Amino acid sequence: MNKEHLNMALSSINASRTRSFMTMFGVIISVSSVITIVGLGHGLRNQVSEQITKLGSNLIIVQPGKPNSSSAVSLQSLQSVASSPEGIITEQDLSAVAKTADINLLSPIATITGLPSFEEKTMTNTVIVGASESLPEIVDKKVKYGSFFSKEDLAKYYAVIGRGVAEELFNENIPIGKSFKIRNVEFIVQGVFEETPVTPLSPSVNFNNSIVIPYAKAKEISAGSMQISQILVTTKSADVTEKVSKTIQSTILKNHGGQEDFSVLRQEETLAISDGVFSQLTIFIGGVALISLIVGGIGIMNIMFATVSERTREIGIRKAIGATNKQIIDQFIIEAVTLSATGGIVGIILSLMIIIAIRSTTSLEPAIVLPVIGASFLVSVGVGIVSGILPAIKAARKDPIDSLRGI
Amino acid sequence: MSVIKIEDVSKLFGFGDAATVALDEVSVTIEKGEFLAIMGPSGSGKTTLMNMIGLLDRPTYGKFMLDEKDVSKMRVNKRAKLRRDNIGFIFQSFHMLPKLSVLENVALPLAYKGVGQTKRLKRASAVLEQVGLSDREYFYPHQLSGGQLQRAAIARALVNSPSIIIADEPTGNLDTESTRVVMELLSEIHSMGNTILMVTHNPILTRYASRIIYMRDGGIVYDEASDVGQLPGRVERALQAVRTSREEDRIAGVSDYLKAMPQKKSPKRTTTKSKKRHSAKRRTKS
Repeated sequence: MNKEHLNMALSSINASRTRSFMTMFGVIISVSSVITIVGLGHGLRNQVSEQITKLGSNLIIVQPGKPNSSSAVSLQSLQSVASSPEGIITEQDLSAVAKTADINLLSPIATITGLPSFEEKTMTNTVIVGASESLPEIVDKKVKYGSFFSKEDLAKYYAVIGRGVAEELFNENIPIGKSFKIRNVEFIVQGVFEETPVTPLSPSVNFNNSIVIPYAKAKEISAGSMQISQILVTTKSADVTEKVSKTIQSTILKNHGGQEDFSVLRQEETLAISDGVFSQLTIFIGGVALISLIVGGIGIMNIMFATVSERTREIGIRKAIGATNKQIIDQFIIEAVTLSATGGIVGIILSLMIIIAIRSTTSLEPAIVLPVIGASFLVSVGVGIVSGILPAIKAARKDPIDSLRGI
Repeated sequence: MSVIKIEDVSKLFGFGDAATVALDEVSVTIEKGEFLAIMGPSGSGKTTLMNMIGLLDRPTYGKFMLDEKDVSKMRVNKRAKLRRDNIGFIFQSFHMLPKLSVLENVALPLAYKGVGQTKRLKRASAVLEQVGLSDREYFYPHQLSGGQLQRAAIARALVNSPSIIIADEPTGNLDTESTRVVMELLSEIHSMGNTILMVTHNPILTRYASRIIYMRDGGIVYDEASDVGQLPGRVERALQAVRTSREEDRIAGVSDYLKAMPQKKSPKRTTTKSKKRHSAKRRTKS
């Protein structure tokens, strides 16, 4: 019986192809946008998580701002250079952290403002970072040409620049040995970082546009305006990370007079924060897409109502040869479900194509999230059932005599 | 045993002052195996009576017994099942579903009964052979001629082996030759023991019937049994008596033989309008 209805539904959908396609359009668009957008969100989260994970499980980040406060959960906090108004990390904290036991490497990250200039040219969109000699090792960043400054070079006016700076400021790939000015102080280019693939919402500094100089020199040229935006610490092994992070926490807490205006984050905590942000985003976008699915369902309902009036005679014939009201209802619901489910499947295929297209043309890596695909298919089937019920009841209630007359 | 027993059945359409009486206290008993021809002018209530017997409609008043069961108060779904199993419909305009092949159309009643696909297509194929359409099984309705369509419709009516076949002007849209073929098919079905109710405007076709009912203004005015192959006496006399036809009657669409038929109760012609109003009043009072 149901197979019969399915065949009927398919043939009547096939008979009015253009209209069926237009009907399905709403469902197709909403299903494909749900899957694509959720996929994009998941892809971003994966990319961000990957970057955080890459930093290693023995990394500890100390940054200003209360843990779990609004700024900590916002997207901004993922960008480690963002300054936080809620508190500052002082140099006193830095030296206290440096004295903690079981620490392997340590580097402050301090950003200062300044317009680097070379010959007549100045560059505006750069980040000038003061750091220690261990920075490349801590953030797993390689210097492609030249070298990073060593411990002995910390007192020298050396700079390691990003790829973008080299190209824009110096107009060449390897401007090693060239000197340029920041705040009228001359620095010599010591090395050029390898190119970093640009990823959106990147949690770390965009190294392509940054100039890294020794921490002491940054402090010197900034004339006291410098702020430490982060202290990056690696421990000797992953086992002691938790213990070290607690020690650092209590040390700085003592320095700050018991006021917790800073946060000490380990890898998993950073991951939790970014996950929280992305799941909030996903829920929000999912809700919007759900509304569009409902609108698509209303479209199907509309068409089904029109179909019922159009097929009055057919309903009459079916009743005359013995169809019960329930069988008529079944037929129309199955037709609506076939429409919406086909729309769902087409939407899924479309979204997969969009995802593949995005993956191959941009640096974004949207994920194919199977539960979301399954759920959006089920929801579109559900929308079909709900939007088919009213027209089906209307069809079943038709008086067979009037129907046969074709009224 | 009477297959159909109708007692004082009335059918009103509309409400209050706007009500029209389509059937006015009709009583008729139809035995198993009868071939009943129903005649009468348009608006005489033939189709309403057929729809009632075919369980598509309910009487407003009165009692309708089908196989000695009262079905006038039966619920919609039960009626649908009864209709599916006991009654086969044949319509003037065939009423085949255009998107299904002839075979699928014929098999449709079985589908509603829940018969499996292979089984029902087999059965439909057998019935199509019976009506001489084996070579048209996979054609679509628009590819068939009127006569072939009506034969396919007869096959659809027969596929459930119903006890009653209701044919509402089955030859109304057919040429003479197709009419002959269809009528012979119905006659054959009749000879196999089925009860057939046929509405017709063509008095010649009453030759195939074993009984003729003549209706006018919602009532039965004349009821006569005749041998199959013979024209009922009244029809024959009417056909012979009136040879000429007046122009205005032709324009009004009234056949002469219909005028020659006896009137209900009073031999004087009352206008349809006043009659209906009269009946409606009586009905609303009671």
